[in-house]
Amino acid sequence: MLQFIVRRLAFLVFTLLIVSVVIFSVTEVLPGNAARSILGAEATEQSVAALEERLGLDRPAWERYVDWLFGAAQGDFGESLRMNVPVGPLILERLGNSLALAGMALLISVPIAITLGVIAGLRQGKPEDHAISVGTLAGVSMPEFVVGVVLILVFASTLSILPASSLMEPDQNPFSNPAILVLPAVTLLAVTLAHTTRMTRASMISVMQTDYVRTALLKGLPWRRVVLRHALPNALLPTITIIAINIGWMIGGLIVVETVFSYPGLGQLTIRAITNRDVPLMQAVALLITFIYAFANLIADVLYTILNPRIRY
Amino acid sequence: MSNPVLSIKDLHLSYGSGPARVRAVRGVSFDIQPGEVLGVVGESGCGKSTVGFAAMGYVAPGGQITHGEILYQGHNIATMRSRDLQRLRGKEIAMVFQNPLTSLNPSMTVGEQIIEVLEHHTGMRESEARQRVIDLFESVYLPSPEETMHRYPHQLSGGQQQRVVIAMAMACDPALLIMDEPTTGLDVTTEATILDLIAELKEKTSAAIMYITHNLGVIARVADRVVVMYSGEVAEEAPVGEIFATPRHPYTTGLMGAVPDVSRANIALRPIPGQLPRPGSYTGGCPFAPRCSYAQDVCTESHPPLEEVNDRHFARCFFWDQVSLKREEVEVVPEAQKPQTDPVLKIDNLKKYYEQSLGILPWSSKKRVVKAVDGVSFEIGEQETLALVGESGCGKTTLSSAIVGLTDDVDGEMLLDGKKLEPRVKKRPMSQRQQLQIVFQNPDSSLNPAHTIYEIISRPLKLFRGEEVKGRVKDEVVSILESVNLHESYLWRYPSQLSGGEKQRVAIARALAANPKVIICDEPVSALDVSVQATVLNLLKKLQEEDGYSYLFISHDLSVVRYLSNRVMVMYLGHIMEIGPTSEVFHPPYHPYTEALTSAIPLPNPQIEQAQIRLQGAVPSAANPPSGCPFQTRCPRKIGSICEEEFPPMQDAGDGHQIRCHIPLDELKAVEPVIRMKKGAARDVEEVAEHSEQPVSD
Amino acid sequence: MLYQQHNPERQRALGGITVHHSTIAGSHEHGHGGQPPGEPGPDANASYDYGVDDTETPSVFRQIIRTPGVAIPGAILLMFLLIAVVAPLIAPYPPTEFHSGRSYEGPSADFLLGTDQFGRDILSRVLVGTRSIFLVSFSATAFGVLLGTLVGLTAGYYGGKTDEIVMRIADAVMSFPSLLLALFVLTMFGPAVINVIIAIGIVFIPRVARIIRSVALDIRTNQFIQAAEARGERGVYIILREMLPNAWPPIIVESSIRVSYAILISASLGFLGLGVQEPTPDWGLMISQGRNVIAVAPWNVLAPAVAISALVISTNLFADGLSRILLAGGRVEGANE
Repeated sequence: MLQFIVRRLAFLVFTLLIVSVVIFSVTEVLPGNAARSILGAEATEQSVAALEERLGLDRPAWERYVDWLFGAAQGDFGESLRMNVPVGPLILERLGNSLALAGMALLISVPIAITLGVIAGLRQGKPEDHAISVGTLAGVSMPEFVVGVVLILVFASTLSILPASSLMEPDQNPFSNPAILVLPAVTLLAVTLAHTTRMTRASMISVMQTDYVRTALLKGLPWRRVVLRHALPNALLPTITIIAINIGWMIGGLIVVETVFSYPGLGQLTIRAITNRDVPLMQAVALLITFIYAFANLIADVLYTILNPRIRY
Repeated sequence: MSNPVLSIKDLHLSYGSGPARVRAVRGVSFDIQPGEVLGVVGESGCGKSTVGFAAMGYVAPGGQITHGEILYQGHNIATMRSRDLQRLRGKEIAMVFQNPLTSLNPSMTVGEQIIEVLEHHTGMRESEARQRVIDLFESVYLPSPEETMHRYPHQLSGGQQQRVVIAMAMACDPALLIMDEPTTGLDVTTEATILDLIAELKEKTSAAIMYITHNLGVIARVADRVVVMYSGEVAEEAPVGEIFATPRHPYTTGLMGAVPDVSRANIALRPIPGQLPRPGSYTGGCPFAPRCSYAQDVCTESHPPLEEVNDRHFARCFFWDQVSLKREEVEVVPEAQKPQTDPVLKIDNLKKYYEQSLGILPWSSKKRVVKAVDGVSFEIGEQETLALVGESGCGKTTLSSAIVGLTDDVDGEMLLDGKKLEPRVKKRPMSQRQQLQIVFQNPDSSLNPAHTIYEIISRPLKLFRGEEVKGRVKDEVVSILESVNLHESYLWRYPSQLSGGEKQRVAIARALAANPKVIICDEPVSALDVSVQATVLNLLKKLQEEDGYSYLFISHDLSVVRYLSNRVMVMYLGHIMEIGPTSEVFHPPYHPYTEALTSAIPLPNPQIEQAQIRLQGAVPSAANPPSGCPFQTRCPRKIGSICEEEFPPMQDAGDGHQIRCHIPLDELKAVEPVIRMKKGAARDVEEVAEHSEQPVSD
Repeated sequence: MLYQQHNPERQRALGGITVHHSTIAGSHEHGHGGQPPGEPGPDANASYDYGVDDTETPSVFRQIIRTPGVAIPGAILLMFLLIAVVAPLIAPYPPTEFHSGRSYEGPSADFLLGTDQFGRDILSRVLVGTRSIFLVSFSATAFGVLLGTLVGLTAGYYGGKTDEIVMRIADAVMSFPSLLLALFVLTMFGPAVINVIIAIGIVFIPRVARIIRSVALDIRTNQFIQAAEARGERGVYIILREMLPNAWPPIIVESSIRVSYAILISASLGFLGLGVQEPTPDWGLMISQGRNVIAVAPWNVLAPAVAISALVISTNLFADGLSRILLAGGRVEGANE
């Protein structure tokens, strides 16, 4: 077991290394000179060269990569080119906001999704199942920004009961005005809920068709016990994996949802870094997001292994 | 007669509805008395398992009972409310399933899975239930019951899993036990121990047992009475002795004539012509009529009733009084003492070791060596069939893939026609690849479903004989097809449009297309239904006689081997334990392992008595083989510490018969033959053949 | 399980549960629809000897036509495709034509779905917008599926070290969330239609490769692969001639699922301003611009929102049905982003 965790950690480090190389090289080859793009087109050659020197852009790429990597390992991602603040604290603050949003969506969606998925799986082909299946299919088919914009249209513009924008003062946290969390969270929730429900349903259906569920029935056990004791534990095992994958979805969703609602989170910061060509910020955000996703997967793998008696180390 | 435990009356069951409706079971009736084992035998799709599940009140989704009664102790299960069914299931009626691994919940310990049955049905407290499980595990001979209880299904061997399922079924002392192919998929020696266990249970309880199987040998061993099913109907019903001695339905006689039998090696195998009907393809008349040599117009026009042969014997045939079992004697396969000619294929001290990484990290240096094949030598002569027999894990598959060149790192020498064979097929010259062909076990898997029969056969033809057949590839493919008795019209079909037997003949044709010298046949009939196995076996025999191929015939089925091969070698844990002419191998002196194997074969002949030699435990892992003799951990004739310390020598029993054992040859020679006639049996094996003087009509 | 395989550990963890494409072996068993499930027969010891092809499964096309759950979304998709082809002919105005003084007009006889901030006709823009969405999603899918299939088949066939290395890299790439990776690629190449296609294609390659690899591993267990190897066939022959023809059903299903993801991603990119650029009409971009005036001119948002939802829902329904027809077991939910 320990060996397994060590192995997975080793892979996590390996992944982050690859990702860091990719991120670094991508930002390296960005079209246009970073220094010039900061100073603007009118800047003189001298001032561009001076800035390049200040930023260390005149040194060889691998040297800067190593520096950056060591800095990153210690939480030092340099300074934002545009906002002129250290990147580390900035993304930490935004991470907090995003986690509040994503965590809320996850906490609400997972139990509901599992319940709906199990119901649909058990009642396969019945009206309940059709309703859930069609509803969730619509859910996975709607882009987050469409859901978000429609929610704004209904609840903010028409009914005027919730704010359309989730702007915050710099020192505020999302819970100081919970109303601004509602619409972004519901948007995020709608999509992940649909996904987890569909996967739970599929998993439930396949478990209900197994020989061992039939065995349990033929042992004369009551239906409730067959479902709760024999089918559910086996059906929920893959759900762990599904939730981890959902976290990947959520991150993608966050980028869009935060943009729709102007919510000051990691996603919005990502877009800003990209549109501003803010290289240090871009590198830090990408690395952090990758780390979160890979770490969620690692946790899922370990949990899966612990909970699955078929694997024993 | 006492009241039957189960009485099925005119049961009809179908799946689906409308035009797609499949009438899977039609008018099945039979009774089972307390303490009786009723064998239900038939091939795939005949409805036997469906009837078995119906007896538990279980119909698979999409199915429904359309007519008839299933009376358990007088109560009709077919119309019972689910609450009452729950009370019966697991308590009074219990089932043993075909695939124990998938039938047990993977995330519960086996103990828990039985305890819940006891708690639910008998209201036992957990401590009582626990004790009861230990008792049950002891009665099914599971090792260290208390530990086994806490194991998960995947941690047990196949035989142990099935013992757990049997213990689970026996938990509440049911009055009716339904066993659905409980030994299918197990190795023959494991199968024998499970069958012994079932026989013992039968003595101990008064439960009525419905035993469902496709294997006539198993039926002969366990059943008191037999119901033969064909295409959803009962074809024949009779006590076991009578059905084997005087079968009265043409399907029953056909089956018996199609199944090879070690005790009757000199009887020709006759396949049943045609194919199994699809479930639901029934349109009227006798479903067997299209394949029946007795059939007349009346058979297709009206449906035959179940005729009474005597008060315990019934056959659904208009002409039952004309039907009899005819056995035709054929020349026994000539036995070669050793290859008569220069060996075509010579294998010398072949070894294949795998390295298995023990550590989880890929760069871990902890490795162990698996000795899959460990020093195997043999020769095959021209037009000779050498059979390779062994149970799963003995290394026979590794050996065959080493010979065809699909394995790396092979040690030892292989000579084809006196020329060295490189271990990798890529390094072998075209002519060697051509001369060595292979026919795989399962044609569903060995024929690419996306290719037509023409593509399948023409590929090796173009590859190996491109120059020779230039411009007439198609004609050549047609003539190859004809040599395996398939018509030209098959050229543009896909494998999925062929029956199992036809597919395997295409696979053979593909091997023939290369015009080889040696064909390795890797379990070529074990994936086929019994009634068509004989077609393939007879074809292989005919091709050899006509074209002089040499076969390495790999099989786990000693009966098939007995029918087809000149010489036999027996493999265990990567070693050859015995090799010799076929009849010598089947008679003393035996290697103790061969003796146990022979004793384990379920013979479709109730007049035969087999010595009961059973192997305990499972085959040890090839990664951690026992010291000394590989067989010593399970050997019933182990003589002492020498077996644990020294690797046994090959002892020469003469005539090319060699046995790898420490026991002196004289002692091995003195062993009683495993297969004997039962005392007072009406006829002798040899006589059976002599009695059937009249030639069999086709 | 096929679509849930996410990394090798977990795959092993599933305890040897593999998908069996009935399309690979013995489609007959499933062709009858009524194969009694309680009648497994002598499992390993018998094949279904069902014989000749009088009950051959109807062609995929006929099955699609006969299943309303697939035929209706299929028809809607065809309609969208048709619109994409003839959009410039049926659009009332050129999509980029300004009508000065008529910005943010509501639906009227002149402008059936109203106008945007420049007085451009929204109906025309929605109609013509079909073109870029089809172009981007189909090209990106083709690009991603083609390369992903080749990578997946190769890794699955050769196994061992090749597989380990290829799949580890794929895992690493997959640890970027799709949208983020696409954004990155676009940042690198700059926003242009061709770059959107490449970006989405790159996102798809490792994901398709993963799935096709598991299909390949499944196909590889068949003995016809060993038979080909025993003839000494080359790897390219085995991959393209023996394996690929059997991988078509999952490839087609995967492609149809990918198209819907491609639509979602490209629309999201458009919304974020990094996809198709002005003045070319793009649904995502239209919603992005329209949301600022949502209180006064909601039709700016509603029309493209309805269009995109209808398109993705029908694509998903179609993919769902297609997988039910092609992979008899049905599509296991796509936990694959």
